[in-house]
Amino acid sequence: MSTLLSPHYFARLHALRERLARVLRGRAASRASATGRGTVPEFDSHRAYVPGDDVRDIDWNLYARLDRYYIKSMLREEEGQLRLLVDGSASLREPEPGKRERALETAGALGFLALGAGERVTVHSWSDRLLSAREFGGGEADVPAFLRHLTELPQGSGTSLARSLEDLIRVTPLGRSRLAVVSDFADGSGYGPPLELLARRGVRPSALQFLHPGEVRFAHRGNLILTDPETGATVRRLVGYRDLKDAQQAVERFLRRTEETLAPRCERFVRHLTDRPFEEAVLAWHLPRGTER
Amino acid sequence: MTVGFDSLQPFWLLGALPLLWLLQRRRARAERVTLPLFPVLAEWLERRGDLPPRVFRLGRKWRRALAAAALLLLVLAAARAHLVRRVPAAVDRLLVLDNAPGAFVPAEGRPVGDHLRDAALALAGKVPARDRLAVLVTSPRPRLLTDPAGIGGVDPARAAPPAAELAVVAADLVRGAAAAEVVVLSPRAEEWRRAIPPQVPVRIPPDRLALAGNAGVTVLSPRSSPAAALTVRVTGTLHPVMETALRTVPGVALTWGEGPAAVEVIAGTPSSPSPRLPTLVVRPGADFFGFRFLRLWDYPGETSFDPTHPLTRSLSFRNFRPPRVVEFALPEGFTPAAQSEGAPLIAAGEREGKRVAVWTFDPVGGGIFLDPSFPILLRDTLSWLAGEEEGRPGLFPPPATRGAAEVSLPDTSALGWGEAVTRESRRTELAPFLLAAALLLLLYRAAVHLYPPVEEDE
Repeated sequence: MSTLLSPHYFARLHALRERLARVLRGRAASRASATGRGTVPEFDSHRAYVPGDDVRDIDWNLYARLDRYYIKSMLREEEGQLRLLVDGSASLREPEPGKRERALETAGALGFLALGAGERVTVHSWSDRLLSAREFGGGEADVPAFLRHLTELPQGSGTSLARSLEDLIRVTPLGRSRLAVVSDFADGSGYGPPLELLARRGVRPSALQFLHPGEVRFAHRGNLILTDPETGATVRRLVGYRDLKDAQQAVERFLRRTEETLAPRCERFVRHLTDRPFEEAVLAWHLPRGTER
Repeated sequence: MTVGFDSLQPFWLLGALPLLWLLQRRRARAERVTLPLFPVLAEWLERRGDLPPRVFRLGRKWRRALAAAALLLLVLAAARAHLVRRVPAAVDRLLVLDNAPGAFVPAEGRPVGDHLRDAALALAGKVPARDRLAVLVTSPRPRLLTDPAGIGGVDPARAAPPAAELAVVAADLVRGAAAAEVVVLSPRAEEWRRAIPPQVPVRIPPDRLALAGNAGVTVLSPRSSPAAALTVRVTGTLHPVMETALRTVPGVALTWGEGPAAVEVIAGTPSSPSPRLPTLVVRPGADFFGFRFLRLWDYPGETSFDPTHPLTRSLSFRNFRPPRVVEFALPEGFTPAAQSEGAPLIAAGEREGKRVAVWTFDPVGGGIFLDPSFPILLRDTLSWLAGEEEGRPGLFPPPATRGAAEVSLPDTSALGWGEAVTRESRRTELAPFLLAAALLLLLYRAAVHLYPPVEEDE
């Protein structure tokens, strides 16, 4: 059984919510009143149907005319919505499964807190493109289904955050939803422009970067066959003392470049090492730097 | 010129080769590492690293061959390999011509005695020029021929001493002359075979030549294995001349301190109350082992030797006049082997189960050590201390091997002297060169392959 479905994980989620309650209570209350049910939904736009969309949102009139499925996006629904963009690439599963587990635990906690606060949560899986989307809006009652869905997220091999974001922008009316990208950001292609496009549309995403400690501190020495988990490409390399230093410097350059790209373009940027509990990532995401945790 | 080794133990290291091979394989095997950051480390991965380009390329097999050769050279160096040039050393050989009555028996139309004489003459003619030959004719009484030409006049005798007696005579000659080889030509082969005492350095070869055509000629060759060395521990300050004399006794190795030894030589008065080993005490100056000091005595008179005592029976000193001796009262169980005016000069006996010989004189003083009998006295004393018994002489036979000079007998089988005893004349140490060669090989291997060319090997 995945850790996401274990009672222990649920207990940790509840404890985390209590800890956050002091800070979030006011915001959650105001959101609840602003997005309370019974309000007449306001039409925003149409978008193409993607697997995972609620069939109740399909505009059947449009289907009758065009013989295509379109989702009728309502502006009111997008308010108080959290979109979790969970990396489904192979790199997040390496060098050990714990890395992806920690990312999913964090995404699960973010979703749990949002659902508990009455927000709608949409989970997008992506790798080299957007793979799937599914929305949950049933409050806390939807938490088990939401967590189960996280464990069953479709996975790809390659990584292209830029293309995935472009897919997202193209098919989804983002409105004022909050966007959280959960990934290791081991992406060779640039993803700055789509982030800027999001910003122009008034969406400032948050970035949660998950890295294994062994990735941050490159310590492999000797005769190595280095394999790319996404493409299967290999490089044979004898890593000695000097080469090890060069590798470490290359890793540090990657970390610096990631931060320089994400921090100015994102509402929040959290880097989390996977040997730490997921609660630390959630707290860092929710609480402004310097506040009590 | 032959190759020798001081120690063969380093060759055991070659047994570790499979282990080294396994370790090398393990080291050469690449570790697979999945690198999630692969795409973002492309810049580093595409670079060749800071290693210098290789000038030479060697395949894996060549590298292994170099390593194996280097290891072999190291092992050879550790075994202290050396080149040695050996030259034959002069030895004494003894030919026993047994002309017992059995030599009258005809064989192949001639008496056996004629065959024996012919074989003896042929053997005498084959003795290397550097060696000395003595011929012992057994009947009617044992006599030594110093000129091999006398063999031609040896005829079968009507009466002969028993072979057992003759064997003792031959054994004494072996011991006295330190003969390297004894060949017995006899018509009574079985009798000789039974008579030779087991301690005499003579062996009966499996290829006995007692064939009809050879008229019962028997060849007895010396044992091929060298005698065990006699380790002699030296205690006290021994005169260098005496030490040199000890070193020249065949088969004797000297040691100092508390190491294992078979015999102890004490210069001066022993400090312990009883002998720790069979001991030769040279010129003591006070009471010891029950010997009671009586007086110092300058220039004693004529010395008389006991011709039956094992220490003195082979001696014929021309001038035995030590300038000063110490007179002792002998304890019970000791007898004088040489004495002057009733005072013992050489005494021997047992003390607490260990043999003790005492020289009450200084062998260096008065030039005693210059007499040809002195080495015999020294050797017989050590031999007796080492456990010689009546009929078991010859403790230190020099090593010898078989088959250098050969005589063809009537049936075309061969009869010959053993190979000459050799000694090292020049020794060239190979270890430094081997070590240097091994280091050069390893250096070359390391220099051209600072990192394994795994790409080329796959």
